[in-house]
Amino acid sequence: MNRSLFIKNTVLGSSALVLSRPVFSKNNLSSLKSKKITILHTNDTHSNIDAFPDNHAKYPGLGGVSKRHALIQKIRKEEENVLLLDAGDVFQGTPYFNTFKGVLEMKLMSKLGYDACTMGNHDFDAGLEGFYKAKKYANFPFLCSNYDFSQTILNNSTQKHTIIKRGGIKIGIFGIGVELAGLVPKDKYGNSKYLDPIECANKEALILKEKKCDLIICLSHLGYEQKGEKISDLKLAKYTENIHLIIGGHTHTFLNKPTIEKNSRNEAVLINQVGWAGVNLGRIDIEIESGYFSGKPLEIR
Amino acid sequence: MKRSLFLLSVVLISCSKNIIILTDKSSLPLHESIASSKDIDSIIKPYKDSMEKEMTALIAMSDYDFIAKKPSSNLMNWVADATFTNVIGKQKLDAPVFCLLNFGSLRSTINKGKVTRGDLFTLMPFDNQVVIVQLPSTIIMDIENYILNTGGEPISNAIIENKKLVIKDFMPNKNKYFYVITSDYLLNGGDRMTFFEKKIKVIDPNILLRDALIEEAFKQKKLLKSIDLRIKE
Repeated sequence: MNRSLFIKNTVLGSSALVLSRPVFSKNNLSSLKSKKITILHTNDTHSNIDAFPDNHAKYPGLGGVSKRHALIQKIRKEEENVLLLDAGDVFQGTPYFNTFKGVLEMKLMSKLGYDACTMGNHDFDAGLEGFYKAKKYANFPFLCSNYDFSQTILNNSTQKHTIIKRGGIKIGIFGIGVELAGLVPKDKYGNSKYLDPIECANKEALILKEKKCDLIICLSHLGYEQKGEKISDLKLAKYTENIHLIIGGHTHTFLNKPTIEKNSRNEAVLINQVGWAGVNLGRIDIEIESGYFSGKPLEIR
Repeated sequence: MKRSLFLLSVVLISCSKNIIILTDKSSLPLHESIASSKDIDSIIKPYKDSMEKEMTALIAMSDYDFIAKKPSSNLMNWVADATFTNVIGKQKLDAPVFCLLNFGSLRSTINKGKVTRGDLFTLMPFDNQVVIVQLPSTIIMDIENYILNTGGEPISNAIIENKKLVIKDFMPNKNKYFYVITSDYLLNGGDRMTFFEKKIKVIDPNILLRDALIEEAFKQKKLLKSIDLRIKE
């Protein structure tokens, strides 16, 4: 089979690599022994348990955990290997949080089968103790690689990364959080220490690479794009290496398509974010082929 | 529809394996046509029921959709005005005063129709307290710059015109200080409003910001619309 590639730039941006011919229909993929994984993701759900009301000014009738569950279940039936992730700010936004302090959010995410989540700034809104109490209802890990909680009640409550195996694919996932000072009241985050996101991301991604993960995902609550010097997902992608995919949050950015950015080694990194409040469910299908391109790695031009 | 028609594929390299990411359906809207899940509804129900009575209480009506949009919008104006009116009605001050809140704290719209207690919780979910901060007149420029830099914040009893903050009744030659009605979150370093560090004193009127909004909405019965552009660049 001649599968030579034609590479060119696209409207998506000069960093995009495009296979210009019809490819990857289910049939020819299986013949190449490729493995597929479907990554579903949310961010900034902000305690939006119910769907928005029908008279909502912006998103009438959209969202709701119940419908999210139904859609995820449907996809789980269609796809063999599904990963469900969240990029933080699970808490704060509706009376459910004011009343039950995040317990219901954790119970529901556990029921939906989330594999991992990172902490957003609003996940500190019930204080460290409040998060600690609510987290008892979560059956999935919270990934935070640049918050040092060792001097707090959250010591041992979060982890830097996790490795998940699905259908023979080894996926390494780690979390990166936003700077807390100036964003979260000091009495809410206590002795938590914020560490440099780029340094921590490079460190975690390298560890995951050395552990032979096929795919390395960063759950980020830095925000898609930020003014000035402030770190963002776009900058994180640019100044790090070994990360394939950044699932972002914080800025409530609705991306119609994932953004492709080049990392410090000029390789593609994908960034996706799906707004907020659970209005949309993010989906990225990934196919990993073994021994398909036996030649040298492709470079992004 | 044939998948291949609209397919954009990106090839990333991981070790010796090739990773192909299919990006043709990266955001799936959760619209009404998706059926709800009984499993989930049954988990939510007891929680929902226990809040129902308190949160569905009718506070006011609205003839309009109130939306937050920089530099200034009807929702930003309404929240700042309601806070200002509520506090001024309870606290006498000896110098000009205006209200400054933050765009980021407005977490939802107020929708046309019934406005419930739950709607106002959704708009302002944070348990922030109102504070009145006395500031020296010399820092007005810092506030101007801050608001111009962020592209707009909710303000009341003041406007920004020709890049100048104009507080009602404020006289540069006469007033050595003025007051800002704001939230404890902003006073304590939230959103980096560093000019609050130069405070002369802080008055605590013991009002929860959300309660001020609920009280004013209840008094207004029909939410008052304010469409004036307060931040003119």
